[in-house]
Amino acid sequence: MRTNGWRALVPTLVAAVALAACGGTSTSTSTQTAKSSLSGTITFYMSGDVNIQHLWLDTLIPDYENAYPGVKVNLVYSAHGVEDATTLAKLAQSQQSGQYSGFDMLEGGLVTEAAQSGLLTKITTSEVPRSSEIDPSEFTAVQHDAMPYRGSKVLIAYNSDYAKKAPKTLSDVLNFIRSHPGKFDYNVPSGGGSGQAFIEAVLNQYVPKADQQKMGLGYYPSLENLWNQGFDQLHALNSDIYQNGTYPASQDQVYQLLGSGAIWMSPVWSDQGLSALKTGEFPPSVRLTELSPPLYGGPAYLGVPAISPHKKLAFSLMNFVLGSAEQAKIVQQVQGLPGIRLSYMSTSIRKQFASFGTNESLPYSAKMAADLNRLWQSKVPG
Amino acid sequence: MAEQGTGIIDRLGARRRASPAASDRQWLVGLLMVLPPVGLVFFLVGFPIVVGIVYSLGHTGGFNSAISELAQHQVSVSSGPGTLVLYQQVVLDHQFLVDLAATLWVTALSVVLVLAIAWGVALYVRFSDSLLARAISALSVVPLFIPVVIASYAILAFWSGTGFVRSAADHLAVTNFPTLGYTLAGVVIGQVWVNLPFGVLMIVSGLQRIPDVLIDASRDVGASLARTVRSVLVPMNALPTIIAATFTAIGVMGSFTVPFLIGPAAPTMLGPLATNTFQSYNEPQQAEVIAMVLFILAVGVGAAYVWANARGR
Repeated sequence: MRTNGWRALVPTLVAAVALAACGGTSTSTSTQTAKSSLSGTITFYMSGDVNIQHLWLDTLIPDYENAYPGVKVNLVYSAHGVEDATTLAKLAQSQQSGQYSGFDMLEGGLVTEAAQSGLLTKITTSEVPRSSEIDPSEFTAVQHDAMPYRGSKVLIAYNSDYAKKAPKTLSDVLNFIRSHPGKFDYNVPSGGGSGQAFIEAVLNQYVPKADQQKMGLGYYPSLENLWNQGFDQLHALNSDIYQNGTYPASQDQVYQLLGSGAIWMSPVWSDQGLSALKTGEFPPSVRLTELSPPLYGGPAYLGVPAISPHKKLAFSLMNFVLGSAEQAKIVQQVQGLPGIRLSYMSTSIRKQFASFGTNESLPYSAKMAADLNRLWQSKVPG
Repeated sequence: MAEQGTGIIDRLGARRRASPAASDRQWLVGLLMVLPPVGLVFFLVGFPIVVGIVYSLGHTGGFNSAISELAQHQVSVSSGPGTLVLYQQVVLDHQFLVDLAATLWVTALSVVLVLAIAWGVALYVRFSDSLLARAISALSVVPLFIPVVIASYAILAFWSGTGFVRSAADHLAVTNFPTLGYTLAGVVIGQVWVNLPFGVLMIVSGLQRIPDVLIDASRDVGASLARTVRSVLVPMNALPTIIAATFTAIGVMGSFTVPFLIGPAAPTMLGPLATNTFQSYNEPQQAEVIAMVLFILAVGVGAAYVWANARGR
């Protein structure tokens, strides 16, 4: 789940999905048979939503500590990544001074940025043997400086009572918006990745493929004029968006509009959409569908800072969460896509994700996304 | 006589001479007692403000080196007092101007509504000792005990397209009733909710302090109730009213949660704009400039408070 744009959310906004998602209880059974001689403490910084915090606190960490009794994991949680910038600055300073930053492992939106700035340790199969089970394309954005361990992507959710035909492409969605005024909505791009993914897809219609790739991996402000046409199109849609162009500050508010029937279609994160269907926040008539080409999505990464005295422990924890038992728990608890290839998962899980496809678009890099947030705000609403 | 007089003066003089040492000591003890909290406030609040102002003038080194390493669209000077380029850039930005205008009218309207409602409640409580009056004055303080996030969500849900008000209007066959969720009008409702308790407390207690005899005297000479309110109660309760108005104005101007949750994406108020600029746009320097504009506005309102206080004494 991409957490970069989620910083602005107020913690309570996600409580509904998150609390529901953390209903699963941790079990003490472990797939690790040989008790290890590793010992020490890992300080693990994670940023993101409460459901992921509980995934680690209630399931992954207890399971790991049970398999490795000598190791303790100390979780430092930053809701929606509000401390990401500070942590990145700490890592950068640690790199410069050659001194330990205090963190041994990282999870969240900052990992991609840290990897691109060269602040992390390279991950190969000798450090994390099970990383061979991950689709190699998942390493593109981070060039093997971080390891994907779960994923989610943005889908289109639609209420089949009103939208009889599932949209197949972005232009199907745009046609639906125009022909059903007020029945589609998405959140402001800083309020969650689902709205941002939809915006990026509209902008990308007018951005050449090669430039899209560049925007995903680096910061090229000079390419931003390629967005103008897309922003114009989004602005023109205002009158057909919910309440003449009302954009909620968070994606959870959009989910509520969809759940209550106020709107009939919206972008949604796969994991949150599945959780909402499971808990009844979405009525059963809501369906999730993937567009072609797909909206953005992608893995959530784990990274190990370049300077850390506990790298060995961090690698063992990374290898542990790639085990199929833990991966199945990730699927079950937060409805995340497995980090390893589906062929390593059980038949039932393979079936569950079969319709999702394996591809997704690369999101813009953090700095490009920050500029997108600003430009959208000044060009689209109002 | 003269001798006696001198004696008194001498004695007074002796006392006066003796007192500087004692008051010096007292002064020192006082200073020592006040120093830790003042020092703490300066270190935790004052110092970061100074660093922030320096950053907004283009000084990206020193204490600002960590934040400036990651920030986007920075303006940087290497020496000299700094540059106002950023202020010019932000203040002339169309989005900023629209949001500033929204902030000003939402603030003005909220203050007027808070004062009107608080005065209404206060007058009712002043002239009626009924159970209902007491219940109303107690109820108007309730928002104080409800967290703003929860209240904002409740207001949003109540006024939204599928909320109670729209549904009730629908049942009464009014189909085009306006939806106030995600509008600035909704934000005004939220601001009134949040700020009403303080206004009511100030104005009710101010009115209660006005002696009955003044009101009775006014009524005795034949003044109507309206005239009594206008010529006796309003002037005598001016200070609490001004305090309530200035505190409400400053609170509304700098608010974040209410406009962020209830308001539209654009235009928004300066609080959410500053937060977005800092976090979502990754432009901390521009956010500092917006914060400075808010600060200057608040100082302007604060000056009214200081003036009223000084006059009140």
